[in-house]
Amino acid sequence: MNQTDAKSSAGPVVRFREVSKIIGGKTLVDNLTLDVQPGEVFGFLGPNGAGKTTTIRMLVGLISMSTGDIQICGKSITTDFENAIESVGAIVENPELYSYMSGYGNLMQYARMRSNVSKERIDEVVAFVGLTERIQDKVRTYSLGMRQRLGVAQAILHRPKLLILDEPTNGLDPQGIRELRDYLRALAHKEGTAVFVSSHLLTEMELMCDRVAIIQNGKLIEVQKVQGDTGEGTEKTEVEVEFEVGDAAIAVQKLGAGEAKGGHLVIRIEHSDIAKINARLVEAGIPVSGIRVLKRSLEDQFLEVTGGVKS
Amino acid sequence: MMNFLKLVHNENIKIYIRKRTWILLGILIVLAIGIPSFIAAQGGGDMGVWGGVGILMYFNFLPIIFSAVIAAESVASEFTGGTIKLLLIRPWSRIKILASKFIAVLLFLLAVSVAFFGIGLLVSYVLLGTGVAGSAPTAIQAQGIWLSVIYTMVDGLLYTTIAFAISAVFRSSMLALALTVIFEFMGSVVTSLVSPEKYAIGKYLLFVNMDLDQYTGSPLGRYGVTSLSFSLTVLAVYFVAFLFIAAYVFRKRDVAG
Ligand SMILES: Nc1ncnc2c1ncn2[C@@H]1O[C@H](COP(=O)(O)OP(=O)(O)OP(=O)(O)O)[C@@H](O)[C@H]1O
Ligand SMILES: [Mg+2]
Repeated sequence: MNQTDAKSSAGPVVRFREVSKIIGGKTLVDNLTLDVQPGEVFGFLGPNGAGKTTTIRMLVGLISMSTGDIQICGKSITTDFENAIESVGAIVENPELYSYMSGYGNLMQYARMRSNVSKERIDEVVAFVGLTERIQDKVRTYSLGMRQRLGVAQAILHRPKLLILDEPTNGLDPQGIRELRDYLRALAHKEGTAVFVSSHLLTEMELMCDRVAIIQNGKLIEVQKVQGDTGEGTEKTEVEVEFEVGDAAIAVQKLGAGEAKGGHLVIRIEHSDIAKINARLVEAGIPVSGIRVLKRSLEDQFLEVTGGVKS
Repeated sequence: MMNFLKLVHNENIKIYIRKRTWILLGILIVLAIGIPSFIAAQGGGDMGVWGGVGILMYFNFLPIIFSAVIAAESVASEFTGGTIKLLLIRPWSRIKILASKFIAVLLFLLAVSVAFFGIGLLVSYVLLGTGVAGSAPTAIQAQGIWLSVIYTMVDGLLYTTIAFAISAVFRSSMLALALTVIFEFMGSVVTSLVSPEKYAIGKYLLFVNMDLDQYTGSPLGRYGVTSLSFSLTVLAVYFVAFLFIAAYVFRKRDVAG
């Protein structure tokens, strides 16, 4: 109960406000405004080169912003770095660790930089990522997937309020992907952690996330709720709906919402509200001869963005 | 404060866990033991401890170079290995991270000095003794050697700081080392062009003021226009300037790619 209270009373964990990154006249991230709430798995979906990693680098203070600001738990990453980053655990692109140290040696490095990481906690995390057998070996001898697991371990070591993972399933086997997905969802929904994951794989995002933002060429295209594997949320999905009506302009006027496009009424609503709108139109004396959902799924949009063809 | 020492501890681990660090230290220890032993084997026993250390001093560039090598690696290797990303996303400002690295590097300078001069002194004393007993020059000799050791460490501090600063600015240990060496050679070239004897500005050059051995036996130094206290002041200003530039660039830098 307490957790849900905390969730609703506290503000967003991350606040992007008009964040841009311009390098050499090229806009890599373009005026991004976005909130990530506690207790949600937030997906950052975009094709290669969309600006996902660039955004994450700004979020953790590795690169500066050209304009705008990012706040983590209410603290600015630019003006209050040490306090803002306190709540963060992250992997940025490939987790590059000290290859000449053991996995354990690496985790000790990061543990020493925090006051709240005990030996027991390290062992617990090592067991969780399935590296107990190999943790005393040099990282040089690790496979890609094992490095990724060690990367996840260093990110969650201090129980961060915000966990940022840049393409975390890179190199993981199906079993590892499944475990990570279940873990991230549990972390968010049970402990109230905000999880920010980037990926260019739609199916992965759909399975893992509560909300997904689609970005392309550094621009935020869309933020959508998705149906997690819990089954909730289908009807919450926001969609664009086209109503075929006699006079679209009058319909817009009566509804006080939507717009007239090509003689039809086009309006953005939650999927569950389609029937309600239809009823209101009929009540207002506007007969509806057809209803069409224009943007059906995340997949359609993502394909549109990535230039794929709808099947 | 306690926690900051943990950062220094982290940096120490990164230095001493590597085999090459021990190879460098090993070379110095071999010289520090080998040279007095060689002298003793040649029957140079009447040289005494100070004569032995005096010969060891011909190799004093080695601890300086080794210390500069570790300094050049300190920041640069985090960039080449990509580990800088995971290092900088901890609740420590970049200045504190850089400071912990610099302190670990200075501790290494201390380590090479002890390995070289400390062991050299000890072995010389054991093998060569105090030389001709009661002879007056011994005291003067001893004082000269001690000053030499201290001057060498001052030079070592400067070169280490230069290598550290260049590596923090350019993120390449090779470049840092190359530039440090080029600096050293350019020093004499620049000094001959902007000769301190002809141009007033010349006496502010770094290299005119390094190698404080120039003040042994002469209060006015190599060019006759500087004094020991003047040189120490100039070196201090360079020291602070190099660190300031390193800190400024490291703090502002975009860590990408
Ligand atoms: N330092 C830089 N200077 C100039 N352009 C850069 C720099 N870093 C990245 N870019 C460009 O910015 C764009 C976004 O890169 P970014 O790495 O953020 O993409 P991404 O969404 O993470 O892609 P991927 O899925 O391939 O990881 C790319 O076009 C890239 O070429
Ligand atoms: Mg990327």
